[in-house]
Formats: sequence, C-alpha cells, structure tokens
Amino acid sequence: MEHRNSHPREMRRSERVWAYAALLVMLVLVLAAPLGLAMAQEAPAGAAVEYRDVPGIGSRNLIWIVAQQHLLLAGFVLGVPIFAWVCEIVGVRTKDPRYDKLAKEFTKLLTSAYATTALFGGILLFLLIGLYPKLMNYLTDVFFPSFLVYSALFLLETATLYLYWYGWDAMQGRKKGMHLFLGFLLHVFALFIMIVPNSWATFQTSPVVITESSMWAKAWAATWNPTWWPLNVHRLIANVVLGGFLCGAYAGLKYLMTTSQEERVHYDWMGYVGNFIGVFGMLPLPFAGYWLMREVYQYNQQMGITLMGGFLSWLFILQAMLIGILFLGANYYFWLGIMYRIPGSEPKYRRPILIMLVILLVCLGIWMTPHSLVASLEEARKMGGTHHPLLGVFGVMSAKMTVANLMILVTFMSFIMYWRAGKQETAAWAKAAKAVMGVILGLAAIVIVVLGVWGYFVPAITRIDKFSTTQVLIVLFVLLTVTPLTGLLMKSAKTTTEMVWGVMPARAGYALVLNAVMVILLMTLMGYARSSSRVHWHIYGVMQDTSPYAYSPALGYAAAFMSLNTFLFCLMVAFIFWVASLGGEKKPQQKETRLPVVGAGPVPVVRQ
Amino acid sequence: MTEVQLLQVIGLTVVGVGASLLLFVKARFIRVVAFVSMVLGAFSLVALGVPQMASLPPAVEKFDVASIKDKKDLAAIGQKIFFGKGQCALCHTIGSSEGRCPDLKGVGAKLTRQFLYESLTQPQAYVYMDYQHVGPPKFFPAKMPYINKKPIGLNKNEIYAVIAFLQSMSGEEITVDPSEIEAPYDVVLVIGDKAGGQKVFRALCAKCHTVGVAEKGKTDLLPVLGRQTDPGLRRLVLSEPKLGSKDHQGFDRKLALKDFDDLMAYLMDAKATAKPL
Repeated sequence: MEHRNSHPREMRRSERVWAYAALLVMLVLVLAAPLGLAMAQEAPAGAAVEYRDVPGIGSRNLIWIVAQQHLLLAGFVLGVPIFAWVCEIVGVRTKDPRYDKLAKEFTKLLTSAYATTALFGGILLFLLIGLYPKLMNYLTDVFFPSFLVYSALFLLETATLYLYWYGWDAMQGRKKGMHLFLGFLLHVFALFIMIVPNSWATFQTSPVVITESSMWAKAWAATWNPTWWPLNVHRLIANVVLGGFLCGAYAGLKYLMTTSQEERVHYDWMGYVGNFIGVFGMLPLPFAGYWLMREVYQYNQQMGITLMGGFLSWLFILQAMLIGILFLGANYYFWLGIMYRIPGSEPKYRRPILIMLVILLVCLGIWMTPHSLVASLEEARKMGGTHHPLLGVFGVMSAKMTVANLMILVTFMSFIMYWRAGKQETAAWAKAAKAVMGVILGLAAIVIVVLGVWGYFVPAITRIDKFSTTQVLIVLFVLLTVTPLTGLLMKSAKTTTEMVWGVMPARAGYALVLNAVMVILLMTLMGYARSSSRVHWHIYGVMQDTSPYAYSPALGYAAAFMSLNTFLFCLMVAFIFWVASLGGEKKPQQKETRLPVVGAGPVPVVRQ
Repeated sequence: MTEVQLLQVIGLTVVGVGASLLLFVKARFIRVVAFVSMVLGAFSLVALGVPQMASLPPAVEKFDVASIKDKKDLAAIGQKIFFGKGQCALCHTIGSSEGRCPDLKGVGAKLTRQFLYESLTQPQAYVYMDYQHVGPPKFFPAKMPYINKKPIGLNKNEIYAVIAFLQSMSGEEITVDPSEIEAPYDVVLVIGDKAGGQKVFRALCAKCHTVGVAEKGKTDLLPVLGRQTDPGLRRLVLSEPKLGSKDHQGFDRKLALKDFDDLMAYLMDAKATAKPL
C-alpha cells in the first residue's frame, strides 16, 4: 500500500534528486578527464606522441564511456524528432489534436538534448585528439573536407531546429504545411549529420585504398566504403526504434507516477504510440543488420568470422537474449493492451496469446542455443565433443535465421490482432480478405520453416545467398501485404467495444521501461561488437593499435561497461526530460480528484 | 579474487540492492531506477557466465633462420604460419569440401611454385574458377586477400615457407631451398668471446657506463641494451654515438675487430640475461 508518496509535488522532488545525481555524474566525468590527463605522463615537447593515457580509468575506457554516451544521445536527438514528426503528420491526417500535442511535447526535449549531445561530442573530440593523436592525425588527413561539411550541417540543423520549435504555434492552420516542411528539412540535415560521422567509423572497419589525389577526392573515396550504407540504414532504423521505445519508457514512468486520471489516460495512450512506433521500426531492423553482416563478410571474411564464429560468437547469444526479451516485452504490452483496454476481450484472445507466447519462447530458446557448449571434459566426452547431440542442431545459423523470422511474424500478428480487437469488419469482402491474410501468414510460416530445415543440407553459400534472403523477402512480403489489407478492412469497420485508456496495470509501465533498457543495451552491445571486430587495428589493416589497450576485453568486463553506460544514459535522459518539463509544468488551480498511483490499491485521497 | 569474480560480486550487489528497494521503497521513481538496476545487473551476470575470451593481438612469430636445417624444417614453419599468422585455415580446408574457399589438398602438386607465389601475392592476376575440372565453373565469393599486404602481411620468407608446406602436404618434392631464405637484418651471429668482452668493457667503457647498476655520474646501459638490436648497438658504439658526445669518436680505429666482437658478445649476453655486473 502506498500512502504519502502519491503526492505529485513529492514525486517531482524525488525526480529532481535523481536528475541532480545524473548531473553530478556527468560533471565528475567531465572533470575526471582533464584531471587524469594532467597526471598522464607527457613526452618531451616537440616529440611525436602516438598515445596518451589516463591513470586509473585508462584512456580506452574513458573514450568508451564518452563515445557511448555521445552515440546514444545522438540516437536520441535523431530518433525522437523522427518520432515526433511522424506524430505531427498523423495529427494532421487524422485531425486528432493529441498527436500534435505529443509531437510538440517531444520536440521540446530537443533543445536541451541537442546541447547535451554537442557537449559530449566536444568532450569526445578533445579526448580523441589528446589521447589518440596518431589516429586523429591520419583521420584528419583523410577526412578533413567532411569535417567542414559536418560543421556546415550543424549550422543548418540548428537554424532549422530553432525555426521548427519556436515556430510551432505560429505555424498552425494554413501554415502547418510549412511547419511540416521544416520538420522534413530538419530530418534531411539530421540524416546527413548521422551519415557523415558514420563514414569515419565505417572507414575504420572497412577502409578502402586511398590514392594521392585532391583532398575532396580522398575524402569521398574513403567515405564511400563498403559498410557505410548498410550502417547508415541500420542506424537510421535503430534510431527510430530508440526514439519510439524511449517515448514509451517516458510514458510508462509518468503513467506509474501520476495520480491524475486525465494524465493517466494521456500517458497510457502515449505509451501505446511509443511502443507501436518502436515495434514498427524493430520489424525491419534485423534485415538491415543482416545486410550489414553480409557486407562485412564480403569485405573481409576474416572479420566476419571474428564476429560470428570467433571470440565474439558468444556475444550473439547475448544479443539473441536481449532481442528476445525485447520481442517478449513488446508483445506482452500489446497483449496487456488487448486484455485491459478492450473490456470483455479476454476470453476471445486468451488462447491465441498463449499460443504466440509459446512460439516466442521456443523461438527464443532456439535463438539462444550456442553452437558449442561450455562443458567439462567429462561432459564433452559423453557428448562426443562440445556440440550437444540434440541442442547442437539448433546452434547453427539456419535455425537462428528461421526463428528470428518467425518471431518477427508473431510480433506482427500481435500488432494486427491489437489493431483489429474491438472492431467488426463491415466490408463485403472482409471474409475473403481475412482468409487471404490467414493463408499468407500460414504459408509464409511453413515456407520459412521448410527453408530453415533445408538449409542444413545445402552448402553454406547457398543458404546465405538464397535461403536466408528468401526468408527475409517472405517476411517483408507479409508485412507489405497484410498491413495495407488490414488498413483497408479497418477503414470501414465499426467499433464494437470502445478502447478504455488509463486502466493498464503497473506492470505495463515496467514493460515499457524494460523495452527501452533492452534497446539501449543492444546498442551498447553491438557498438562493442563493431569496435571489437577490428581486433588490434585502429583502421583495419592500415593502422595498427600499438597502445597498451590493443586488445578487446572479454564479454563479462565489456558487459559491465555496457550496463554502466546504459545506466548513465538513462539518468541523463531523465535529466533532459526533467529540464524540459521545467518550462511548461502545469500548475492546476482547481481541485481535482486524486487517485492512488497505479497498482497501489485504494488509498486515501491526499488534497493540497 | 579474479576480475570476473569481482564483477560478479558487484553484479549480485546491484541486483540485491535493486530487489531490496523494490521490496521496501514505495516511491515510484526510485522503484523504476531499482528495476532498471536489477535488469542491468542481471545482464552483467549472464555475460559473466559465458566463456570469457579476450582478443589479444597475435604473438609475433619468430622466423628463426638458424633453426632451418632442411626442407622439412621449412615446411614445418610453413604449417605453423598456415594455421597461425597467415590465417589461411580460416577459409581454406585441406581435404574437406566444407570450406568457404577452395580446398587446398594436393594443391602443391597441381600448381607450380611460381603460380602459388602469384596466387598469394597477386590473387586477382589469374582467377582460376574451374579449379576442380569437373562440372560448371564454380564461383567463390570470398576474394583472396593480398597475403603480403596488411592486415596479414607475410614477408617473403614466410610465403616461401607456406609454399614449402603446401608442396610437402601434397606429397610433392619441396622446391624451395632453405638457402633461398634471407637472413633478416637483425640476425647477427655472436662470434666474440664474452669474457674477453668484459675486459674490454672495464678498460674502455666502465669510466662512464655500468650494466644494471645505478652509479652516480655513470649511465646504466641495461635500458639502452633492451631497446637496441645488435646492429643498432654496433652503430651506436662505432659510428653514431649520442649527439654531441666525443667519447665514442675514433672507436672504430682504436678497437681491434676481435676486441669489438668480444665487447658485443659481452653486451648481448648481458642483454639476454639482464643481470648486473
């Protein structure tokens, strides 16, 4: 039972404490770098320094933390506006003012988020110049023109952001089109702001031969390296996912804390929208990841093997676990939505939800099965090697690709089920359309499984080139046919049961927070994978890392850093949300009925 | 306590504190922070439970010319390079068709030494798709890297050794002769007498230098020896002394060749054993 803490003012106070804590952590980080550097041993003046170290934390670890915070914040400031802009468009199309309000609420975050991102970008740059001068000299020599382009893009982005944010209210009504266009421009510049530094990072992974030519030609040749576009696409989609799930987490947190029914309704709906956009982005994300890995393999098999079959192979088991939990969390939230928001739907949907849950768990189990097991000598002898006679079958790519595609299909089905819940189709062709959709889904699942099993009996190259690609195309086909078909069906459908907002249980809020944490952890995990795939090279095959940190730490140590980075980022996002709320906090004057916080049970109403 | 154990203790503590906060604290924001901490702690514990493998830079393999007595020795070194620094076995197999790239069984018999050398150093010069001579030409998507360039960067000696291994495992006569292996610049045969060298050191060098002993006004040579190769040391003593120093001038005339060899033998022994005088 919760009694006193249901008061909003007190909750805001606790929120502030954590926000101050986040600020303190950031300050410690910022101050620790120069202090550490001051203690670092310096080479004689004029001598060429290749590396500087920071005693205690170590130069590599410091760069790791700052770069990760910068990257996550960058994902936030690129992903959230896309999310907000999509909401603004939906608001214009549906004439529902809630979407415009939501879009504005999230755009407001950008001013403080941009400053924090730029701050970490600046710290990262200074640290890189100071700690890795040899590498930075080389990169500057190759990429200097793109540094200029990057600066120009920042100017354009900043100017557009000011116009977009401060012109929000002025550009309503007939000028809304202009405002949407500004939003579009904002994303064009933001896209380029993302892909320019991507070229620096991908050049380190997959460098191309740089011949002596003009500085622009050199920079362009280096920019257009094999993994540049796959990473651009992967990061763009991932940023949308991050934006969606962060919005969901914010809504979940607010939903858990609020005592006002009006706010509860608002944040419940916001959580739904955030989760929806997150899931929508998540469905094509594995395909973009698959493309990136293909390019890595084609560029250099050795690097691909390091990632998938070498010392990083266990990392992909962890990735499977995180993605699996994310899929489960997103589906669970959909299912809770059906059960709670649509009264009387439980008997109808309990069985299909149970079936989907079982499929998801089985798929997750297969996805997480390692190729070889950690076994004692005796166990290995009994098994006849480190491959389990039964489980070993599931540890190969053919099985993993199959279950990944099935999980996407199941999640898509959850989404469609939620969409159709509480509605009755009225179109004459509804029955036929539903039958066609059922056949498409059923056939797709069968073909995916058949290809998966067949994949065991063909050469690896056939499986990679033909079977896996076909599986991906089948899932894309399902998404691209069933979505518009359902949209058409729902257009003429009548609502049988109105959705009730603001009645979700507390665990729905925690599910939203969990999803956001999973996405952030995944980003930190895959950042480590990308960086470690270069092994002991700053620029693969071109510039060797000769510092004492020319090794990739083991997964356990790396995971501790990932967790730390995720926690710091969450604190910083909380701080940004809090800062943004300072300007527009509501001060309700009239007395309103206060409810206990969600999940706290009936409590006495506390009035001011 | 190992690093993994320490991290496990930290992870368990985080999970424990998070669980306690969830049990006893009612404030929702703190509960959510505790929930997030528990998730992150649990993730770290899972990651600490899987095999812990760090990726260390590859050990620099010594190509010891002196140890090569015959062609078999050369092939043995080639085998190590094939499965080690050369990373050939990442893609190629020997006697199995499961690999991503052509199986190299019998390749030493099929291809000449010159062709093998060209395949390793100019892989795109002649792409032999139909290497199996049966069925339609087979396409191999993996492009052979330039083995003499980075990131693998085998030198000429190492490539010769790999060719010797390929010929040997194909049952062919090894056509690479150990005499073709070039002695690296660093390899110097110590031919002096270290006892004699100690006398030379005391007579000429001990005024200003020690080896492994800190003495006021004298330079300890042990750190210098650690940084220098034998040829570098010879240059340092004979022709390129420290800038501005006049002490070493004329050593090339003062020292008899035998005395100099003895001095080198003595210093190189001190470097190898790293023990003070």
